[in-house]
Amino acid sequence: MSVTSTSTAGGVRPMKLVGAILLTLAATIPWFTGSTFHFHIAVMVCISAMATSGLAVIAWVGQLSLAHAAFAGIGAYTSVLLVVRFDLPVLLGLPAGALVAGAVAFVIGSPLLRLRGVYFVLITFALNELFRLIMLDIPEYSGGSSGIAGIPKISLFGITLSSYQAVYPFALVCLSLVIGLLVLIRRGQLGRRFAAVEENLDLAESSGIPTARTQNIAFTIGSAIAGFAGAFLAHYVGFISPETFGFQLSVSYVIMLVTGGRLALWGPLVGALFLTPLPEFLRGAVEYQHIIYGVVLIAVLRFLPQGLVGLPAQLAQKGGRA
Amino acid sequence: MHSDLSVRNLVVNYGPVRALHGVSFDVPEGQVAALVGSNGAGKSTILKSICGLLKPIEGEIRVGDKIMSPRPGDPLRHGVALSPEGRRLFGRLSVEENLMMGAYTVRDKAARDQMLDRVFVYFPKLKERRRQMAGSLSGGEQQMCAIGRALMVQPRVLLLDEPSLGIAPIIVAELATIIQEISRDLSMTVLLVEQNAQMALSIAETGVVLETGKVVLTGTGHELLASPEVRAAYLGT
Repeated sequence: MSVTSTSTAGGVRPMKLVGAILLTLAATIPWFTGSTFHFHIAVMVCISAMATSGLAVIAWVGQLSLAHAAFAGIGAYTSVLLVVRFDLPVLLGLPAGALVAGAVAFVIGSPLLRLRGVYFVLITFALNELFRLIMLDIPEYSGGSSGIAGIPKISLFGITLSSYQAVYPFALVCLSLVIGLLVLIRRGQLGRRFAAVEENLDLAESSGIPTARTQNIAFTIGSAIAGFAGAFLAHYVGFISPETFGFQLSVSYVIMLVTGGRLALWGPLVGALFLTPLPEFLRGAVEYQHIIYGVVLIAVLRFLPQGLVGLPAQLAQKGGRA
Repeated sequence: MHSDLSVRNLVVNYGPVRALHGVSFDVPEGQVAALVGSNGAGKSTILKSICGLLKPIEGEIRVGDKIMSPRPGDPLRHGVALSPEGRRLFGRLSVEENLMMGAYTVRDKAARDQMLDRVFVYFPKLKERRRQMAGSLSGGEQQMCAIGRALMVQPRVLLLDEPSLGIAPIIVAELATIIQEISRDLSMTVLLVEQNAQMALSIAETGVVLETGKVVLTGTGHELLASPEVRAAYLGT
């Protein structure tokens, strides 16, 4: 057993290097194959990984949000409405989506986060449904159940990223920024505060850490990231409806997070990378996506409690013992 | 010498059950006091009251000349730090991070770093293992880390709850010496709550023996160690 490692992933240095190389290779696959379909999947992986990263920040303080899709939806509708109605450039719409989603999370966070564990999960589940119902109820803004179609594509300084190939590099940049933000949080004082609150709330409180405020900061940051990812999704796919951001999407994010590794820095990326393409590549199995996710979740919880990120360390341990 | 921690006529109930029947004792500034007694004698109740977690029916607790209000956080503001029983640590954080968490309320970074260095002087093992996960330390090292964390706020009164619990005797002896040194060097008032009466009384200037919510004996540590009642009840001799 390694005694010097303090990382939760528990991996050793060469393994991290191998992981980094594998991730880089995976990111370049679409360019090698040149397939439009692969580019599309790669963009979807980036969007899922961003959203799941937001969920990870919330998980770092020990809370699990089932309203994550709703915050993605808030970001999406904010950006779409600003771009469509007020002619805002999409490049500003994306951060505006993040801002509004974060602001909503901040306001409702302080009363909601008094609930812990399963109660918080339940209330966020209800919130996600509430978001969907409200959106269905205000068709003049949301387009009702028929949604909003023909959403402007992402454009950078006058160049519209209309093809899958053109969006992908921008998606990679956005994902890198989000992961960079996660690294910054994790390395800094705030990350230590998060870890302390996650691990032992009472002890953190008695050390003078404002635990309620700390959880609200995480909830706000995480939901803002979801808003950004949701806005990205809206402009990429070009169509949103309240159903897009339903409860099932929230569950998918949770499953990606848990599959990748709930507390690991790279968990969200690995989870999204594994689960987003999975149903797409099992041809004709897209309608079984949730069944596949369910099976993967059960397998991960049974065999890889630390998620896929913990796999190398677990293999190394097994090898050492044999 | 005036007393730094003073408990006056403390009466505490748990629902209808009276846990403390008017407990009084004083700990002079810069001294180690031992609070000994068997299970259910009221040791933890006294600690919780000092930390402001319980509202006494009667009586008061003073630190210096300030009367503590029974609110969590108020005693911390007046320089009371607790190292809890069972050495609760953030197991997945490193030793150094655990110590820094202890100094969370200290705004001045220089003061924090200075205190960290001082903790490492008393507990060199912690320095060796500063990057290691706290959960992977031995029991004795975890206890050192817990005491170190309490020290990080530079408390004027340090409360230690059962530091010898579940620790090898040789480490207990080492801890006892370090506790004595800390109190002497930093002129810190220490209240040591222990079931291990031998260890606690041997380093305590003041000893208080508690039985079913009452103080039954007080004296210097050595007097109590020599007294037939204490020997019979707590030391088995």
